[in-house]
Amino acid sequence: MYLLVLRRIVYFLMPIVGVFFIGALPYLFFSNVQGIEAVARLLESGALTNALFLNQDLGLFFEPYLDKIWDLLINLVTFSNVTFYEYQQEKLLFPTILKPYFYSIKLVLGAFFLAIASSIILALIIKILPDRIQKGIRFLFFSLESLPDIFIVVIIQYSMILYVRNTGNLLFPIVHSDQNPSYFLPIFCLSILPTLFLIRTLLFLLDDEDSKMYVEFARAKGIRYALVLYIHMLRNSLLSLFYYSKNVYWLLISTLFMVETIMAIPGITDFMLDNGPTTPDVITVSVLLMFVPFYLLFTLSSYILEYKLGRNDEEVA
Amino acid sequence: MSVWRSPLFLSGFLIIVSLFLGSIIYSHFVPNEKQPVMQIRFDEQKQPIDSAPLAPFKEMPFGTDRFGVSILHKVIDGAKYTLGFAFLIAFARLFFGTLLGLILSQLPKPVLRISSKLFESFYYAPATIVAYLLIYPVLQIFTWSVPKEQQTIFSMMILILIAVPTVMVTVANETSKFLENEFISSVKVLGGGRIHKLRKHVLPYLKPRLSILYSQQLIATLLLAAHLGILQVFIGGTDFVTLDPLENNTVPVAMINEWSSMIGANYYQIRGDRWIVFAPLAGFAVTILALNFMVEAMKRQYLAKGAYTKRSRKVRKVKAPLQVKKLSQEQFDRIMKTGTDN
Repeated sequence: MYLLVLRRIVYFLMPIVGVFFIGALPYLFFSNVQGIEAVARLLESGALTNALFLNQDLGLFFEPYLDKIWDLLINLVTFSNVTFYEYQQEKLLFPTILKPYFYSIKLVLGAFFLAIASSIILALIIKILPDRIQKGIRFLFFSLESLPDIFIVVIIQYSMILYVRNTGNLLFPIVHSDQNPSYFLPIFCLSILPTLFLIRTLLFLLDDEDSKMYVEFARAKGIRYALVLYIHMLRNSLLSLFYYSKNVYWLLISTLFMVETIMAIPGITDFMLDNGPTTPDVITVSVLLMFVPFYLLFTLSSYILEYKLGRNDEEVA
Repeated sequence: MSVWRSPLFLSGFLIIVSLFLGSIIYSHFVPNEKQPVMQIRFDEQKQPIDSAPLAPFKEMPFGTDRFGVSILHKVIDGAKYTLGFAFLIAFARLFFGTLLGLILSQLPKPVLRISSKLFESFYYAPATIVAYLLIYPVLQIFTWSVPKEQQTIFSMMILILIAVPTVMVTVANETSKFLENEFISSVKVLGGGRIHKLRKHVLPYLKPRLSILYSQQLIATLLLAAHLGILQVFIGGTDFVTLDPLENNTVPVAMINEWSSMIGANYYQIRGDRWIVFAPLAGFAVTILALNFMVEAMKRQYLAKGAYTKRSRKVRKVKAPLQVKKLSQEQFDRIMKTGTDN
């Protein structure tokens, strides 16, 4: 029993430890990371225009890599603050990072819920359409899902610009500014790919449900298909949808970067890109900040599902 | 039915192949020295009416960039670099990932589970940012202490290494799940060793899955390249061109017409001369769509579950018409008399 609990805990902590392995990667490949940091700081401040003098070897340096991972672990476990460098001064990471972090988390959570809600509604509508139209719509959505995220963001931004040019009123701010923070459009852009993914998954699960006995029984009793769909099939497949929330998170995070870059939003990925080259620790902390809350959510929900349905994660994935 | 007969797969495959080969053949006939250039557009009276960047559909089919080079030429010429690069990276990812995954699957179970949990974080960390963090210093900070070839090799290595853990874990899990099958224990009883099991049983099972994984890695590579392009990290190498010496107006320019660097180098022009960015973006969209068609067709073929199609429960039976025997008059008479034909 203790062994089982211990194993669970180790498995639970492993992905979090993995983030440290990623954050310290520069130390694995570069011989002189301190040199890069110092030069990057000088380049940023404008004191230098080139880095001709910097001598750097590329290779695999396991010892500094492991040292760095250990240092960072100790640093974060003891809650010591990480310093980073911005505008020619050393700053403490912790109050500063929270503002971009909360902005990003608002966007991600908003997109997450928007994606779930809209995908459920759209999937139910698609499911009761006649077969032929359904096939066409499924193909259309499948094709849309293949569009690269840059393409989607750029097209949406550009269509907003076209709308402004033709009608003269701006529906939503397309670029962030401090006086006029932009929320709706980034959330909308972020949620498109997850919505398409969730629609596909939900339709897949509902199709699976189609062939089960209870649906046929209910139909035989004379209950309308739509009613069975809305009440029973939806309820049964929604639980399984949670297994795919990890993929949704992945889609959100990779699109978040694009949205923040194109719409000039001072979010967490923007912060990482600004300060990552001068302080690699920023990457570790930011990835942890984004990852851990969602990871807790996934793990919790997967335990609940395991308890309720008696299956576990590995069997489904 | 082979996957080659599915129209979805074939259309995707044809698009990719024609883009890649078409680009190679095109650049053989129209090398970069002979590229169509139009800096100034004249009307009938030889009056200059427009200058580069020219809008599309006037003289040049997709317009020109700010140096007057036709965008259509750049996109067709760049396809071979982008695609070839992606083919190479995805292949290397898959090769090393499969090799390490097969080794990992032979290790004891707890090792496999712990490492698959450990490398799960590679899936969640934004790959673009990690790649940027590792490639950016090499290409932009200490450019002079490392020779040019080593820079390219290093950035390719990073792009490969960043996905190897995920591929490795996928392959290892797939393999170890497959090795739990009952007939594997009979293989063991009959004297099949580890290598035999991997070569004769696991590899044939993995092959279709690996081809799906290859296409998915191609898509991931293309997306990563596009993202890095936006961050001004150009895979083909960067040059700096000073447009206006007085105003210190220096812009990064890609050394080859590679799509992602075309997007990144011209991204600041998107508000004004959007066609410069939209053409390579459309190239990416078409390529990824074609690849997704192939993935979908292969998934339906090999894994018996499609992404968008409804699985039909009815099995359609093909009724072959009975073959009609041709009888001679003699045979016919005999059958009519005796009841048999011999």
